[in-house]
Amino acid sequence: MCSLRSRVLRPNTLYATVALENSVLQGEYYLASHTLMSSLHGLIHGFIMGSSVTFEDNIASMFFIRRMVHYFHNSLVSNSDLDSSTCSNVKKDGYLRFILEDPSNHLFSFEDSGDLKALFSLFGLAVFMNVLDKRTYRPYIEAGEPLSPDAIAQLQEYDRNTIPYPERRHCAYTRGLARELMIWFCGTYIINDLEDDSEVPHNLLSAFVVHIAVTMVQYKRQAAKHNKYSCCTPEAFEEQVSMSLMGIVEVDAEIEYHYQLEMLDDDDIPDLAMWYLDRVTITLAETPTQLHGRDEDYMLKGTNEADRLFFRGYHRGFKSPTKANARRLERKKI
Amino acid sequence: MAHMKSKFCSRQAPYSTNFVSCRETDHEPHCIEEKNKDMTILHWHDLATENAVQGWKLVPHGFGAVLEASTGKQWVIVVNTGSDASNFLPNFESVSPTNRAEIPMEAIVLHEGIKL
Repeated sequence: MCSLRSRVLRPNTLYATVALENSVLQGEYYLASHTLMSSLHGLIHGFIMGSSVTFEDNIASMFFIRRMVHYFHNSLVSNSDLDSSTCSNVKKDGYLRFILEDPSNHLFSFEDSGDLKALFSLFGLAVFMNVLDKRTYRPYIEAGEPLSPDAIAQLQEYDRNTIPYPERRHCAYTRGLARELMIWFCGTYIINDLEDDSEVPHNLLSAFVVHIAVTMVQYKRQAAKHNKYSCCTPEAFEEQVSMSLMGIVEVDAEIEYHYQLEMLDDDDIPDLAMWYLDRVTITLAETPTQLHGRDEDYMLKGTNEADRLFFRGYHRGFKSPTKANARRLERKKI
Repeated sequence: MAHMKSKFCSRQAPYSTNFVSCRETDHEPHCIEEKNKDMTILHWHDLATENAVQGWKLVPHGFGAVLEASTGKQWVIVVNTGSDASNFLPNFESVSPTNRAEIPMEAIVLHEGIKL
């Protein structure tokens, strides 16, 4: 045992404290780019197990995830100037101040599979951003008003929840950026198998996302079986996971997700790790891809099925379709 | 033991990508809408009287944490959770000292005025 004044804990760490005398402990949370896989695991553990394992406070970590996706997209895709001799990205015009500090602190060099795991995890966090946010499962009501049947109907029909409209748009936009970040990665780097040096097909990312989706659903079902409910039912969670994949991953990956879900053994306690990611090496492609996406495309490309329902509802003023039909019928009678 | 909000803002540290990314993306589409977001939310204080115990807690929301003794002395016991849900299922005893006995633990005394 050692003695010191401060201690840095990695994400996804359990800790306990014992006060040896009257004391004040000052704490600060952080997110680090190189430990994003631990962050993804920690977020899933905390969301599914809820207050039985973690603090129930109202910090929206997704705010920081959104900003990190912007940051990596800016650094790697929008402003990328690839220096192939060092196999890393260095921006030379000095626009971003991080270059004046130490860029290696935060950016990925992809010299080992750790950076690949972190990048895939960042994409996973962007895809499941709304799924792992408690506000997604709460019906929208005006402040001070009681919960009405209309609010519940709007949640079911339009996915209208307590995440405000501007934030909802930002989530979709961020997913679009994250998708382009992954397209950039797949065009710039080649992933090889560590053992036989053969090229790994690029559906490794889809396999990763599907694996996380399936294990999360399995985890949630298991937790419910042991009476750990946190903020939503397994059915609501499963529906959100399914909607988060529609329109974001390829159709093949969606089919694979539903296939794997059917084959699940509900008695297994899942492991969120994907061992295959440890067995790859990453090399720079001979002709790296340069992408220059347009702002309006990001929103479109990052809109999943839940967002589509929500934006449709927003443009209709969240009128219940059943009520609208009833009104139309009444008008016809008149 | 009391857990309370702090008024300190996030600070730049070699590991905090959240700080750098927030600073560098303020002008981006949709980020302007979030410009006045409360940045003190990542800070807190734990006030403890002698012999107070806080059971096992996971650092929330996928964050990492930095703990620093402002005054007094505390033991901090740490376990890396990993990816396995069997750490928490079928049951998890947050106050049992032997709960995590099968996983290597690390114990540190945080002490005011001592730095490494």
